[in-house]
Amino acid sequence: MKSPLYRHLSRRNLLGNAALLALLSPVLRQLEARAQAPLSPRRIVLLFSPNGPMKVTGPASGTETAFTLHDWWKPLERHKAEGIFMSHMSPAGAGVVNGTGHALGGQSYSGYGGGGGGDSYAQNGETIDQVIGKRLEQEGRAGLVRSVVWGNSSIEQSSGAGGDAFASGPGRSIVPETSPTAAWRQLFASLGNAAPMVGGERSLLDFVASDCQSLQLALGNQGRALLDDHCTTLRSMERNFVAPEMGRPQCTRPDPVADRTWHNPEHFEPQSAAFHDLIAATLACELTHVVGFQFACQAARNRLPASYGVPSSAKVDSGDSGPAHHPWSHNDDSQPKMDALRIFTTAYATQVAALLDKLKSTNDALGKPLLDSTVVLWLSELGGSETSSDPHLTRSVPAMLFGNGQGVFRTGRYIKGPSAMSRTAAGTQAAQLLVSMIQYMGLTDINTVGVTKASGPLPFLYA
Amino acid sequence: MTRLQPGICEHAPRVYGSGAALIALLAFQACSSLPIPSEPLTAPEAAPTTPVPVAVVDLAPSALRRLSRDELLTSMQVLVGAAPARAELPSEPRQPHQLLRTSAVPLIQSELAKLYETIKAFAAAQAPAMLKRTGCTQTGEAQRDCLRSWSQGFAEQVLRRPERPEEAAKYLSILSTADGTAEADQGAMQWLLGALFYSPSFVYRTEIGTPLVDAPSRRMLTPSELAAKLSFLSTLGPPDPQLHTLATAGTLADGSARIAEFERLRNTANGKRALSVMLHEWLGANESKLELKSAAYQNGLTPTFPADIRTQADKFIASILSSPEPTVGSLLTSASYVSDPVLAQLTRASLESGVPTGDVPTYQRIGLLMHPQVLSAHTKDNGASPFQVGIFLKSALLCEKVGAPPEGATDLARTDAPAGLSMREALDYKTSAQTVCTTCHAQFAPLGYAFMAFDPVGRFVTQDPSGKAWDLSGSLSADGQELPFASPAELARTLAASRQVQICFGRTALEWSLGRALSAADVARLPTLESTAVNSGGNVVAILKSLIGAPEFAEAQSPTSEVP
Repeated sequence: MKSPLYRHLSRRNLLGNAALLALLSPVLRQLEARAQAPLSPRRIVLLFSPNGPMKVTGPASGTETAFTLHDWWKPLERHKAEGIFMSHMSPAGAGVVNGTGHALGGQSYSGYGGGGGGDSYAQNGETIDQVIGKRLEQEGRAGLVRSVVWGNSSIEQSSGAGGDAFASGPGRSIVPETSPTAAWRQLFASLGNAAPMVGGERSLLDFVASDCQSLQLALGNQGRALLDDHCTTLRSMERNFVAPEMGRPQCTRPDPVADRTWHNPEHFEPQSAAFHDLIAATLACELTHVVGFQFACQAARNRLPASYGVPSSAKVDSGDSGPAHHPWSHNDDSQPKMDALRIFTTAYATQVAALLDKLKSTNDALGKPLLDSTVVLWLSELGGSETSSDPHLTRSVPAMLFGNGQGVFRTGRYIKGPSAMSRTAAGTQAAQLLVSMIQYMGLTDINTVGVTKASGPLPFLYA
Repeated sequence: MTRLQPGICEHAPRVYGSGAALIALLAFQACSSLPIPSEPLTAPEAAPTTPVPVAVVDLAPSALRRLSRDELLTSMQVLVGAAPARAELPSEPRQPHQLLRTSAVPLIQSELAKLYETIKAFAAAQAPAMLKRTGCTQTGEAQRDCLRSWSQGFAEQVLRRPERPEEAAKYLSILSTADGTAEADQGAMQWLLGALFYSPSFVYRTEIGTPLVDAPSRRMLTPSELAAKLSFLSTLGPPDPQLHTLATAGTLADGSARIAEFERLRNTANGKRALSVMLHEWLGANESKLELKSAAYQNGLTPTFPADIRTQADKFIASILSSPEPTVGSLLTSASYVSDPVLAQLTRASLESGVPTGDVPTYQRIGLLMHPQVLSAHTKDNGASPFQVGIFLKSALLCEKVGAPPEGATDLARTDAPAGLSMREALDYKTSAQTVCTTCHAQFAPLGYAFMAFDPVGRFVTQDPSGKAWDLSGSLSADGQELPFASPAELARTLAASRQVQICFGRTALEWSLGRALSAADVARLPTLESTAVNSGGNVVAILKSLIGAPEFAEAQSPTSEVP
């Protein structure tokens, strides 16, 4: 009797396998080539706009693949193919987490609810940019800094309630850098410096990181925990402080940004343009992979340049007035109210479109457009509806995702969310949207966000 | 006409005014002819001593304290002779109606990034001057050694500790490029200054202490920690040589020695500023909000008004604290600042804000509560803000917290107010829909109504928008009694005489010295402190001396489980 091995090695088997191999070899070669093609690191930009459209439901309508952008979001028309446009959403965890109105909308990126520490609007937990950034840092994938948080104005500058859009913990909102000049200095001033400068700064960082560690050792467990973030940040700064030729991708340092009173509304356009350039340069140089950006804070009384023609609101019950976003959300319905809200929404959409243009036209270290590997998520604090005058609408919230994430997401679609039927269901979907972002950035072990009790990513996003 | 929207039952910045009523400008009517008391109102001699409940947090005290912006700036000014602009430093996290917390509040990444950029720029700017100060004029390695030798003493001052053995090599590395040429030496000095001012040892201070031999569960602050604690409380800056010497000699272990040093330091320029900052923080007014007010209110104010009014407030406080009666009462009732020329921009008769304003004899402006620096810290950017002001008064002066409004509270507001109501009547009507609204608002609205006539920057609006006479009267619940008042000045005098206010201030001073909310472990200290507060008539200096002289001042408060 012939052995199993003999049968396996029979001429028939050998010839058959050889034929199969010949047939499949082109496919195998292609697979091998694809496996070897480098992928760009994944990046994420999280955008927050205050208040909301209030009086219209956006950003789109129609069917999934045959849809029309609402006029107020028309500046994004040229990016239709790159976007997933979602209407009828709610802030993450609506119906489950604490908070209503601005308190709920203001925590759109955390899922921990609003209201705590004596402030009925303050966020109750860290936002996902921090979750992602810290993990990347732990895994040595963060870049020079864990994340950056920038914006057109902060709560200190334009007034509002609660805090700014991003938070590092309960009641610890992160004050965004609103000066492109300062943002440039923080990230780019040392890049490309001559060796003595590099050496000096590296010695500085080594000294302070070592001091931090010594201080941690002097403190007990609670003290060590308190300083953990501080010391980790310093160590990251020291570790990542390498000249481009020593490992960071070649990148061109952008020119310094001349200073001006950046949070003056009249400088909205140059400020936004400067930040778009900086975001692109920061991502291309892999100084970070996580960007948070707010047009303004929760319930912001932010303004636009006078040339935009925003009408001036009379004083409303919330006490504010003028050509600002928030007071118009509290006005009775009128044509000037519609005009004002349209101008604000369209202004935000215009800037988002410009940012996407910049990400498309800037290449990363692999020579690919940044937008290929960057996902841009734009969330609005509150919603909008033609049939409601509620100034704190947490239904019908628009959300938009741009960038297919190197084939991960299926773009060019419109999805209608469930808030018309169930605010809780819409809040769950919004939480799953955040989970999708977290998982896109490689944290695939994280299946929920905040205290939303949502589970898993948002299925309809994927290719 | 703007329809009034729901949203009354809350005290956040988005509060209410009678928008329609503010539009109309009616003929001026005679104000109330209430007499202005010539003597301050005093509480009855035999006032019942109802205990003031203590709010404590269930959080163990920490050994780590972050330097506030004011402390960072003062420290750099003392050490280098210059400091960055305050706005260039990361702002501290704050909660509404809460004293600034510096204990257990580490810097987060975004704050570290901002601080780093500021320190680097500051170091670069100061390097040439600091280089001159070293007196080092060598070349090559000798120059490096000279700078290294100088840096040891300077670093010890900045970091408030001796050099660690492993740091010697690091200093040499930082200074390695120094060679006697201007550019190289300035570069080295820049990195040295940057390293020192960005070090956690500079940015934080510790209260770790060492265990007592015969009672290991108690820890006494080390001499340098004790000197730092006293110095930062007294001056917002690091210990001076005299304090450092006394600390090293163990003298500061004695409470009376600490009190003597406090007395010396409080009379320095930094000492006066430190007490002014503490009092501004007590009243929630250390961060100016004047520039956030609507444009109409800025009309007629000079561009330097925010800075000038702060300077004026500092001057007023300094004058009270150096007077024979440096009391909370004096701070709340003295009118000595009103005649300052800076105030004239607000007190003169004017239509600059769109409505008639100007101080009137019937409603006398007195004390810090009516100072623009304090008023503007609690007003919205537009319109009247009685609810915010009321909550501030309850919280800061009476130590009574007002809870957050319930969810959906804004939807309960009544929106159908009849025409012709005064501002006060309209607000009362709005908040009268349900018991849950009236009960909550009753806690603070009466106090806030007393200040209703002040606009967001502190001008006195001469008449109610409805044309009716102002009703700024009310009743203060304090000291176990209901104490009526007819005007904001009467309220200020009543608060000034209140034992509850004195006790509350004492607790606030303790919280300020600790950099945190009171914990259960602090309760035992309160009887002595409160007794001092009441017996001294709310004497600010006496209260601080009581704190500083107490044995607990020299103890580390952190639990033994926290430190190795």
